[in-house]
Amino acid sequence: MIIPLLTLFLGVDIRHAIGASIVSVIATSSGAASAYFRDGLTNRRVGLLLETATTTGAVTGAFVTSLVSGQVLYVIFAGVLSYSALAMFRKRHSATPTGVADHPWSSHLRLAASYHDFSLQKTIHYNVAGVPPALAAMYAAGVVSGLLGIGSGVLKVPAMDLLMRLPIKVSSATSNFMIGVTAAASAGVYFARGDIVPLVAAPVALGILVGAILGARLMQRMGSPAIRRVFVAVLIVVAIQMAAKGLSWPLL
Amino acid sequence: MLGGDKDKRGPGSSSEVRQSGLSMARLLRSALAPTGGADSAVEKNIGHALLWGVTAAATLIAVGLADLLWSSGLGATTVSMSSLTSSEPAVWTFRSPAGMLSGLGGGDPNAIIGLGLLILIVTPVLPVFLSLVSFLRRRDLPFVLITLWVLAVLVAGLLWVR
Repeated sequence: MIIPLLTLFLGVDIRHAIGASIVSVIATSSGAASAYFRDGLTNRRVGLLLETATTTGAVTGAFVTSLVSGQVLYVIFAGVLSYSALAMFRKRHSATPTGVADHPWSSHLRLAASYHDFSLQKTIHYNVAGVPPALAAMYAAGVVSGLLGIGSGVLKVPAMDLLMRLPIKVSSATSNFMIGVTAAASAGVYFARGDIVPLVAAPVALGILVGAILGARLMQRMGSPAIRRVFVAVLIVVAIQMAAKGLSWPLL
Repeated sequence: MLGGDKDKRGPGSSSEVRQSGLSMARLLRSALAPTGGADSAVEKNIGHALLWGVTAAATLIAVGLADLLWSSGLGATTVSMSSLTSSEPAVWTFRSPAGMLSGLGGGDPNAIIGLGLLILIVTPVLPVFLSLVSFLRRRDLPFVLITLWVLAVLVAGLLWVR
């Protein structure tokens, strides 16, 4: 959303807009993550484990481009997002998952943990299911984000929410941590190429940092069902954008 | 992210909307206070490290931006927009990291902003490094390997593109 704003409304060159956008992703991630870590929401073990798949996907994604057309990918992506939106919408009233069993890999790697849900005022222990499908989904998310240039958060959160059955607050916080790591790699490249223009990136970074820190603290005080509903709305918007790109609608 | 305001669906949601609306003021006031959930020292350290990184970056960026606007006059922002639309904005950036370093020596506001941005970019890697250290201390071999893999792929990606 930063990229169109900068390129269409302010006429900034696309490369610099992308540079500023990557900075904004890092600003969101780090700003919010500082809060999430201090409140024990982020599951570093799950995040790092899944990041092995995402980063590998991002690097090998370059090879996949030559095989499949971009248009097809956009449409497939739109389909996946819509399905995720529907699946998460069905769960919109549930607060925290119950009766989830650890996947054998989760027990072996000790992925299960607990977090303190501020809105419910209690500590919730959760298990981690579906590790292999989540890894596959993360690989795909990495490929897609590398190819299409979109943040992979839209795929990460549903994967953790639906496949691994993590509480939505943990999924958000963990995905947030993961996104920052991958964005830092791209940003390094852009920085070295001089594609990050201070005048453009600075206000973007500052505004987003403030917003992200406040947003993260707000998130913990919100009820989980409300968070999930907001995410469904985000998924639907991005799905429509992706479909429009894939089918060449003049929507953006 | 004001979920209470956006939500219009579902039978049980209207009271939630009202509740969320009423407590917005309270939320904003307490927004900066930690909710006291972290039970791991490492996580608290990471959180603090991130906050330091983000604060240092934000301070540098804000100072540099203020300096930039002040020294070139506020009217210059309209001029700068036109130079930004070209793919080579000569005045409003530094060409390379080396350029930024020399700019720092001269007190170039672009370089100050650039340093802040650089710190911001490095910040997300801190949790990974701190986690690696903690896994090594606890001799958690699977996760030492996992974390090394992530770092290796990141570095490989960086080198590859160049």
